[in-house]
Amino acid sequence: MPIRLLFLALIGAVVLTAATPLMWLDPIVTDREATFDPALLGVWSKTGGRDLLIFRRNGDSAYTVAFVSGSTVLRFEARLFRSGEARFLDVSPPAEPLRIPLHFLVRVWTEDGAFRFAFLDTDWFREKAAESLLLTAPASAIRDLLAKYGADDRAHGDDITRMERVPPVVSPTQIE
Amino acid sequence: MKLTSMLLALAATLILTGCDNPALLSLEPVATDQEAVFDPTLLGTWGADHDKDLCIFRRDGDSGYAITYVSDGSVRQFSARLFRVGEVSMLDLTPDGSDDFQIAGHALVRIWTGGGTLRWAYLDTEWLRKQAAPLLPNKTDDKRMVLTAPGAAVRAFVAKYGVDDKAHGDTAEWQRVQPF
Repeated sequence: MPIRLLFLALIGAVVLTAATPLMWLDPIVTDREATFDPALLGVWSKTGGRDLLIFRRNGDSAYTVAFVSGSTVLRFEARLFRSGEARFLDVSPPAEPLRIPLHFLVRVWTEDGAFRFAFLDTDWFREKAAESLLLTAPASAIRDLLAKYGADDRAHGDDITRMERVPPVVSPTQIE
Repeated sequence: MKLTSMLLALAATLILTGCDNPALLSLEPVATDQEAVFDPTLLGTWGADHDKDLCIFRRDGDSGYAITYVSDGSVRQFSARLFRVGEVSMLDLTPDGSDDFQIAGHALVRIWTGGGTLRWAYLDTEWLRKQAAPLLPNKTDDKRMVLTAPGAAVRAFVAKYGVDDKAHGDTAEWQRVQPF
């Protein structure tokens, strides 16, 4: 099974027939444009689930994200930013030799002890994306797209994954 | 993916991340099957004197190569096509295997063969990237340049600038490992 499908299926974000998230070559935000929210740090899991999503700080404003399911570990880098009323993560895998990492968008919500996220991949959003669907679309075009349509609930549909914080064994400051 | 496979992949990544991570990649293949040539003298096992790494070239189809790079028990697979610009030989090298979050890039490698020796160098110098910047669409960050131009345009660029010695840095030299 392709890694993406495995990842998406394991976190329960989509069924296996779901569309591929939009992906781009350009980082959508730079380190300087990214914001940092310590509330994301820590270990998250779906209620009753065994898979883990682990956020750690990476530099001033980025996150290292690890998704752990059994013996499978998928690692990503992520940058948080705000567009209008919504917050998004620009997510990409760590660069590997001779491979070109792609960036995709995840809308996130945080609340007391819970973290929700959704991929922006609905047909409605794709239709709005139009020219920004190109793999080589510049970051400015993607941000314009987000500013117009990213905060609309139709961009992600009902596929919102809710995770709860796994009580830390150490304090959040130690994780950070 | 099994943990063992992941550790092997990670180890291979670490090995290749050092001096062997090219600073110039093409999004599209640079040489097509029709443009590729086949040189049987590349086939076989190559190794450097100073370490135990091995690089095994096997034939893949009519004109391609399947390359297996073995280093300290880690294994990494590549595909390559050989093409020529005048007397100069180059490989279009790309990693095998799929990754839904990454695209396999195409690295350009200049090679020299003869007398049981294979020398090679990535075409990725700052000079070459400076020549490419105004001529080919690209995505560039502080680590590398990714050419997003059609493969034919990259090939035309390489034919003009890739043959210059300023296009490559230091060369690595491997000797043919004699079969048992």
